[in-house]
Amino acid sequence: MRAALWALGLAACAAPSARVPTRVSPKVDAGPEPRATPTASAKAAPPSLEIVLGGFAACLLRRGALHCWKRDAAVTPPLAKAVAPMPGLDGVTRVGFGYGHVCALAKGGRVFCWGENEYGQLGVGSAEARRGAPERVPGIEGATDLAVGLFHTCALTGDRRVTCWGWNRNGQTGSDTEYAPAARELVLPEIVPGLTGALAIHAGRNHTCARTPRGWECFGSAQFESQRARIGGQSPEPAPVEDLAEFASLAMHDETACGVTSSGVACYGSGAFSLLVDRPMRTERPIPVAVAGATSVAVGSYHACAITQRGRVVCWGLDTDGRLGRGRVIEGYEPNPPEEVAGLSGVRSLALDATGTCALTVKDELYCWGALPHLPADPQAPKASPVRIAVE
Amino acid sequence: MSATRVSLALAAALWVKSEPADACSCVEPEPEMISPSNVGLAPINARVRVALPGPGTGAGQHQIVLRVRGGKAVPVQRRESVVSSRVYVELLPEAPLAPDTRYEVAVVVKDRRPGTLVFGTFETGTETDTAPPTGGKLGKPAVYKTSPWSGTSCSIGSPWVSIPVTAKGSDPGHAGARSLYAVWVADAGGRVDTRAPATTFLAPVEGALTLGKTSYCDPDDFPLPPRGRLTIGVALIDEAGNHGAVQRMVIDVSAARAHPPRRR
Repeated sequence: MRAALWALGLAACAAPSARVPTRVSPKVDAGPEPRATPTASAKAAPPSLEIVLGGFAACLLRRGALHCWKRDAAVTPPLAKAVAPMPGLDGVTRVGFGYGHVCALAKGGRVFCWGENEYGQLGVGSAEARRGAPERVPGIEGATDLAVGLFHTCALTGDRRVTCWGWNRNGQTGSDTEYAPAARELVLPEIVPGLTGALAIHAGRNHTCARTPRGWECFGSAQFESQRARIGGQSPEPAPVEDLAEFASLAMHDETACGVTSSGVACYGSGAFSLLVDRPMRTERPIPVAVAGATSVAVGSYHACAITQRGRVVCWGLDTDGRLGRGRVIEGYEPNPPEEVAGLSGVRSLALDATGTCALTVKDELYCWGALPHLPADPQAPKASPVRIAVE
Repeated sequence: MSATRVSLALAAALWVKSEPADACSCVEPEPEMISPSNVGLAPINARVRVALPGPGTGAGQHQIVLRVRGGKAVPVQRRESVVSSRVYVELLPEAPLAPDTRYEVAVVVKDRRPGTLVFGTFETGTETDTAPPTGGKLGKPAVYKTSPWSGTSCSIGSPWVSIPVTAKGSDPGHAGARSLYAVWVADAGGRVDTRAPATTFLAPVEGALTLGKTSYCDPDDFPLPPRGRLTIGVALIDEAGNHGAVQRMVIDVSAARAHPPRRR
């Protein structure tokens, strides 16, 4: 039964234009001027506990072991006992979901990927369109960070360079070569030329950003008017993005991103219209969001949440299914302004899905709300307030 | 700029363009590798055949490149045929390919970043293939016409031809290779010149060859006349360019009959 839970029937891969979830385990950007955040030790050692929600599966990262299960698997808590750890993966520090693939950063800074491989997003040099079990991405050792985009993947190497693989229609892997699905067996990690001293990496659908001592440097599709004026619509060459100069951290989902800034939180991207009350269809620059004292932020398909200095959670955006945790479901397609989730404190990390939200506290207590088919307790019934779920 | 260069320029332009053609939500036209098929090992005298979207106008400069993986381009002679919205390019290496070597086929566009799209790959063996494929007998072609509004907004009213494969073909030079047919359109006198570049290449799907556009999204756009007759020659062809017996057939487009909606 346990083994069956990792018979992941991974979602069929849609066109890269699909707007779907991409998730990585919570992290904070370590850099010269980062703010202190609850997850600052995420890279140093395997976290005691993290949860990551993907569009087709969920993973619990517990003391270096990875427990993953299919999105609609009927898992009965406690989660860590219900789902066996994945064999062959030790010392996992990070895991991330793309549209149909999963990658994990494991012991020794090695990267393992599995799932859909239509565009070579597994980076294993295979002609197969999918792999059901984790396979080591060749040539990567001592990596310190991982960024899983919708159809591409990047790792931060031990010498602070960035190596990427997968879908590259817009230059999001930093390479001047794109591989069509018919040539996916040629796709292997490639170092992004000209990008050095990287401290953290983030991947969306069509673009990738790295934090460097020089500021944020991004490649792929241009997100801001200032970029478009300089590089055109897209470029694989990393270039500084002045619009992100105030960002201390960044969280990406698809082509939407939010980050903690010197004055609070700001969001941008093609999906930001579902997050922002003034509903821009396209953000030419980051739009501020009124969240006081935010230390980190997480982005979902239609909502975003931030952790504040007091360990509270503030969410905003669309609330269908109760994903904002306001005690009642607010129907409709009008974004809701930021509001604190009642009854939560001591929160150190967040995981967002298209329809729900989970929070982990400093005591490793897991709370979730909204509609989360990944998780037990009558997934059909939205929970508009946090519900504690037993882990172990 | 020659018609060929114009059409190839558009192929690049279409690759650059990342939007569906219209509300029919067609898959974006992409360069397509026809052969070698990357199944098993290709002969060292293999030719490379690709299909590109086009023709039209466009200023993009690009080239189709055959190269050792990560290496230099292989000198080739190029010949091609323009078939309505597609360009079939055949690259004939000027010398035998290196044995036991992986090759890649790419479109290189100077005014786009990323500027290279690798859309095909294959690996050579050690053999030279001089044996023509055998079998692959074809039945009588049937001409169909789909109503423009017969169940899908992607339907169109133009005729298309279905040619049943009545006997499976085989290629003694490369047993695992994908079965492929070359099609030549006869000249006004009804003569089929197999020394000329093939007009198009077709692979059997569900036991038949399909010639012409079956739906709005069908990338194949073989120029069937709206009425009258068309003479073609069809032959099984292998990766090295050896072809089997040419099967000559006359297609009477005027005899088109209704067919249930289908999409490829």
